[in-house]
Amino acid sequence: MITVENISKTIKGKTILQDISFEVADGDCVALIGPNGAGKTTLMSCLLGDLKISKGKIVINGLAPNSQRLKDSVAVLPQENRLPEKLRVCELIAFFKAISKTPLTDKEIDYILQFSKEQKNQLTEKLSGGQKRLLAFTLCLISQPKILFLDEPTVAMDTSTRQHFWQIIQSLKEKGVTIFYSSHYIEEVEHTAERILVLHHGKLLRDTTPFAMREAEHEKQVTLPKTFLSFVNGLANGYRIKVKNDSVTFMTKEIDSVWQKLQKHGCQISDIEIQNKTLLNTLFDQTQENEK
Amino acid sequence: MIALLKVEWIKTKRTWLTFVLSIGMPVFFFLFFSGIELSPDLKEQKVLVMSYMLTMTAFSMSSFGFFSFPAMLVEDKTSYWLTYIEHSSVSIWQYYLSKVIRVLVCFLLSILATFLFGAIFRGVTMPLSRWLGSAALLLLSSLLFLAFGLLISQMKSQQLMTIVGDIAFLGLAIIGGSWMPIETFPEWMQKLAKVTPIYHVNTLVTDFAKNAQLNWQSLIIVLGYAIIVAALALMIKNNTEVK
Repeated sequence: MITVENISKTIKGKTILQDISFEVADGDCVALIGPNGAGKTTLMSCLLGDLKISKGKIVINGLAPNSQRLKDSVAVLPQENRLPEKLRVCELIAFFKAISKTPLTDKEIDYILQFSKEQKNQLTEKLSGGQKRLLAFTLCLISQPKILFLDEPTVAMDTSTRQHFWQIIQSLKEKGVTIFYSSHYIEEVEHTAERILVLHHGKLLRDTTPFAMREAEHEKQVTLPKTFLSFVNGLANGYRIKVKNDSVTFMTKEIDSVWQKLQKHGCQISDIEIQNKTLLNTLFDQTQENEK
Repeated sequence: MIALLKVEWIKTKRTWLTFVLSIGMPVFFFLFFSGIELSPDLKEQKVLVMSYMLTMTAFSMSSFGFFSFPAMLVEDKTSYWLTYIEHSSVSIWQYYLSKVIRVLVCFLLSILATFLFGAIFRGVTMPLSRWLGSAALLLLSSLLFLAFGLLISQMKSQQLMTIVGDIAFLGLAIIGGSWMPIETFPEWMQKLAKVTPIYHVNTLVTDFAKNAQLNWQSLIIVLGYAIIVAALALMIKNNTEVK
């Protein structure tokens, strides 16, 4: 059980996290989402005890996050896709097996890693980005942790590796492992997490489920030919108006009334393009724009 | 702990050339310079060669402290080895102990190599107790090199780390009298030499080898330097780490 109570984190006078509270029950799979700079990694670091919180309280299974007693049951996959160098894959696996009380068997490791004999004999620096990520993930699982923290786990993975990764996550969920992960991919969050925490500017905007998130928002994005610009500017229930080359886009929460007015203005069904926009969509769009 | 030491052994094996050069270079310098006539008096020549063997051993050991040790620590940080260790069931003190053991083994091999070359090729002779005592004092002095390594590893840029390491390694060795006796220096340089930590490492070890006496003043100065430098390194570490 992870309990986070009113935590805040300030680094060099800048507030990174502000008054965040939530709970994660044993066996939950929780996704943490938010645009770049929202504070996801900082929150993750606080939960791991790598960063001290400025205010509030974090308790994991009744212990402080940096407690040595938690190390056997908690594993983390850091955001950066780096692995210890000058070591072969098999040597690294042997090390993690040696330090674990109840390590996975070689067969179980092979099933997760899916490396050939040659790949297991390679130095870690020779692996591709996706292979490195999968190996780092495998290393996390060797000690059979009860709680997993994954910071953008599928970064650098290709589609098939990603599919394999989510299959493993599914089997971990069935075994009752608590999983807390951050992601930049909407489909991963919607299909895998039972709960979603939405972080924005260091604040927890929502603590919700994928289903509730989809249902709660009825905001529509409307795209029309640019000839309707003056009409759009005069709309009382349209906002976030953007003009692009030959089209104009705006958001509305009252699509029925907007459509009636548009029809009166001579708009044809073939002129209009409407998209559902949830908060999740908006945040992921924002993340993609930031990355550009 | 055994698993950690195994990893250190593998890493040492993979960087064997650096290891051989760190030991080989001072041995080469020792053999080269001790072949030159340093004094017309045979007895004095023998003492000078023995002193030179000891100061070159310290020089060899300091190269592990000034370069290999900080480079290892920084590499573990940048390659996230330290992050993996911090989040594993291994205690952080075990990690640092494994590093210290690796460097101590390097120090021991460095002592063994230079002493063997000194005894075999330059005919350095001493009672066994003095060989062992000198080796023990060198190992004790290595705390100073480890402290300097820890301080150097706190630098943010690896380039700066190499430059500072180079200057400190060669500068302290030359001024401290590792290359030539400080009696050959001008007076002002002799005064400067006597405040350097390496001078006291050299004095501590050569005094013991020559007359089996422990130079308490140098020992206290060496350990004092080690404590101050280590404290400074830890202070910088705590101040720069965002927690």
